[in-house]
Amino acid sequence: MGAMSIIGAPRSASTTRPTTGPAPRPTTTTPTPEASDMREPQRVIRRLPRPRPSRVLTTDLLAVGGFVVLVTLGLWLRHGGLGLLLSGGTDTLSAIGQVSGLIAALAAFGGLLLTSRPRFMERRYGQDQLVALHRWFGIVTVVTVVIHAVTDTWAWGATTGGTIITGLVDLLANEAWMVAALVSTVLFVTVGLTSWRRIRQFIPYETWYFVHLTGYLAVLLGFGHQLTLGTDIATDRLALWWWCGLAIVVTGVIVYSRIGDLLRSFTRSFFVSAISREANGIGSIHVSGPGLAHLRVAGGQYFNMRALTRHLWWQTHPFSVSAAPTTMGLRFTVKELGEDSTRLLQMQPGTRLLLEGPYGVFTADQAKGAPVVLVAGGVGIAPIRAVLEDCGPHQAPVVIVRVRDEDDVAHRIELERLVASRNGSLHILTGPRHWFTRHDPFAASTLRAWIPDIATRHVFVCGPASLESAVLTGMRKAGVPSANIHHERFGV
Amino acid sequence: MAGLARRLAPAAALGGLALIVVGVADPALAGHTETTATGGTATLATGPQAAGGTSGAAPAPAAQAPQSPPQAQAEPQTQSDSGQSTTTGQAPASCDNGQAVTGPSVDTRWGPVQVAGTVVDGKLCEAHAVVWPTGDGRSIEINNFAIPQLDAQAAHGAQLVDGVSGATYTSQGYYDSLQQLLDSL
Repeated sequence: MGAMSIIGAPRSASTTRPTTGPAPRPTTTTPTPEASDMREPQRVIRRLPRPRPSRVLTTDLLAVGGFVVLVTLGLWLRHGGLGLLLSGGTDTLSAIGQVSGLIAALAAFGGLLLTSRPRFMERRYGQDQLVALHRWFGIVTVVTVVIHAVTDTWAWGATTGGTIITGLVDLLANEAWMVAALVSTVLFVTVGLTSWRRIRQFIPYETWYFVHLTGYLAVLLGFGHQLTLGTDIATDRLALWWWCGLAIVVTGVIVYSRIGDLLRSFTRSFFVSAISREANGIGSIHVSGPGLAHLRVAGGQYFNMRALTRHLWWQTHPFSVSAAPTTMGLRFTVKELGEDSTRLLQMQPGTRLLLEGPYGVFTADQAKGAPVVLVAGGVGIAPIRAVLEDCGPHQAPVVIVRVRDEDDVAHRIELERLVASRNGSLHILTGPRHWFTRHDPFAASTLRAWIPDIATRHVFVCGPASLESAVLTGMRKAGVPSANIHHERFGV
Repeated sequence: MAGLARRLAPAAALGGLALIVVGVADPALAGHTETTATGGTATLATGPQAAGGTSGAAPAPAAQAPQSPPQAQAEPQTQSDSGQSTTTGQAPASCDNGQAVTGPSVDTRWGPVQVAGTVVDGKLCEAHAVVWPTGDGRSIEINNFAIPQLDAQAAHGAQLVDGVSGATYTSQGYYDSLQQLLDSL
């Protein structure tokens, strides 16, 4: 995710060579190994079909979530949890420990589900929203795990006539899966702390990601003591089946979605067909291959790209489709952010790629045909460019591009052509950041004067967080309903 | 590849350390005795010893009467008929006119456990708990569930008490008290 964030990007000297031509396809087409595999030469360039919408409703998910919470609460009551809670002293402490432990377990399962990007949820909310929710589930998990550990150890110590320390020693020495539970707590806290924004900004993305994966281990190690020591479960067969059932369902969804997405990406074959330079430090990766035949994708969606080269195979990068996807191929527009994305822009044509996805709901159909304002910052131009292509003339798109200077505008000629054919207009805001702090172009009054029908428009924003928040605030004040503002967040 | 190693190292160290600590130190994996009081030699004669039975270890069918959940106070020591039957075709055992015996009170970390029983013809006919930990809410909660199960296990008279998971200490105390009761016969 981090690969697309834009702030503080190194500027590298490069030639500006915008792609031109009627269709957004590779400017230089290199023969790729699969060309001979095609049954017939494709003369007609067709658009790839769009993804099918999810049929799952928010109310469905809330109903399932509510059911799970109610059953869990019911089992706790069935075991006399309320009496324990109200009886005061150590028992109350013990009951608080039980409740926080149950919340932690449910939140951990929920967090795992959200981040496994199950298709039925991803299609409706988009991965970025699921990740944002995953963040909250994660915070709840870590906090309640710590509360649970402290209160229950304290209660255990007090019941045996000691302190929290003797309780801890006793638990670790005598009770099955308690060392595992302590280790799990440590892992949860580590995963939580490394995801805290203030700490996370100092950690390279992959380092953070691999540490984050130990969260699976944390859930696994924490599950054992739940079965052997959890009052709610160890002594009640119904509760045992309930929790084992939940674990099985969550595991199933993870295997199907998360691991399945990875495995499915192996079955679809894609190759780099060309690399082109677009602007200062921005380039495009053109992709084609037989895998296109099975793809449903809309402009503005993104894929997690894994390049199968010696140095890059172990990392994935989320890249947005920057042009309408066709049977000729996909185009990803990428910013050079560091060593790895620079290497990606130096790939040889023919390099095999694994694409997981498409993900995201940052697509033109969100506007339901209403007029739109499209705001892009830096390389955020990639999905904006693709959304613009999917807009019709009746949507009169107003495109606003915020860049440091004009050399930073990628796909400028394409933007001009697309805007002209759609009754729209293109505005490029250049200049150093401090200039804008004094003359905010996204102040509500400015926006209303600039775009009189702003309140009736749908707004799409993609760019650095600072730009995004400026636009969100300004647009809301200018009367655009929050539901009509669509933004793609990169990174957690 | 050097990049991978560098970025994987912290997570690998964390996960590896976690697994090693759990593997070495966790009672569940480190070979400590846990949960069940197994390997017991005490056997409970189910009425008249089965004819030709080797050691009374043949499992009897689970035809025992379900017992009501125990109250928080000790029950009377003479329990009425436990409805025991054996597979050997002998007359059903009746403990009605047996002699009440009581095992020693065994201290567990949560409180004492004591088992009582009825002896017929010098053999234990049935057994049940008379004292168990009720000092805190959690113990009450656990033992309300565990004691009937332990009594039921004892009533089977086969491999004796396997213990109840989640009630480790009560199970151990129950087993000890019953073992000593049998030893004293």
